[in-house]
Amino acid sequence: MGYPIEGIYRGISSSDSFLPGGEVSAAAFQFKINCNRLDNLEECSINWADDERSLVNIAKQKSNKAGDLVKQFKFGACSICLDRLDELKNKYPTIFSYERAPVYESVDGNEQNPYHGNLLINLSSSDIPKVTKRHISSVLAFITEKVMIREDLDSLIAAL
Amino acid sequence: MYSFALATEGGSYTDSSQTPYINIALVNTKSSSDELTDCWYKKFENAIRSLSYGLGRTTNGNDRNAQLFSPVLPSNELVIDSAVSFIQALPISNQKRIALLLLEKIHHAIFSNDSFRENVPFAQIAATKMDDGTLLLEWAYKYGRVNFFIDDKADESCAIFLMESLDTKIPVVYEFHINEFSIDSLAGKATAFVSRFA
Repeated sequence: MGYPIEGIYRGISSSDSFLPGGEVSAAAFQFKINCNRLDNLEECSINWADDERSLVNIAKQKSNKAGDLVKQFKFGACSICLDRLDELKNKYPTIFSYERAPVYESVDGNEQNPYHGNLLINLSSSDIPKVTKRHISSVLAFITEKVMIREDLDSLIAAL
Repeated sequence: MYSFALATEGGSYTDSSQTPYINIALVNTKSSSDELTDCWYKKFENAIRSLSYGLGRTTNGNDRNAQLFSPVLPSNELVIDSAVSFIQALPISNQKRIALLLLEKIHHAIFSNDSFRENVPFAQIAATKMDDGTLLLEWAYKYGRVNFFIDDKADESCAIFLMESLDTKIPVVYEFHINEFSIDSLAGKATAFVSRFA
């Protein structure tokens, strides 16, 4: 399956991911090690914008906080279109990539997520991994297009 | 070891007829890290706050609407206060010291230049602690960003400036190393960079 030209949605779970005027912060794109990966790539979880249900999936996602299921993306979501991601990929060909990683299990009351994927960085191929990671986080934040606040996501759910 | 000395000059911060001016100097002393006390930080942070309060004033003493510089945000003072408060709450560290120095240097450069502050929309500013412990200071403009990623290990800190490109879909990126001795030149670079958005 290919990738949609609409690109990706990134859910925002922390208020730190927005600047005071509503711009997306570089802190919204933090890459983390996933111990289940065998390839040592670091991940930043996203949903592919295959259709309108992708954003609804983000709107409905919950996380388990001390036994309570709460909205995972309490502060909204943002989007980046595919051509921008591809240009970033061309700039850092051995470092930045993306993938589909559908979730087939229902965890914590969440539905399966066929839209799920990851932005990836391979820091083993960088001479200065920490700086490279910051480059990419900064660029991703800068190239975000639409920003949806939590109320926008709630409206999507209400309209179902 | 190196520590920082704070000097003030140019009049009282409460005097509305003058732009506040504070000067931070790097001095080579043999003082121990114990001397970097809360008291030092409080004094420094109060100086920065005073600088931000000076924003809304002109040299002839008239109050000026802070929104003049910020079409998006209700009050620059509040925004700066928010970043300062965030940094203030951090434990004493190299990270905190460098962040405060950067904040003061850049804002002094901005506010002491009439042409600059009247022509460049004031940025959204944020201070954030990232998951790996990095302190992120961000100045966001419509056509660019100035990001400082400050580690407690100074040699891993870096500044990343981004500017929108007409030729590509991703911004042009400039990167600079941060250390205690490069703060003056880095603040100068950041100010010059942002002035290109005017």
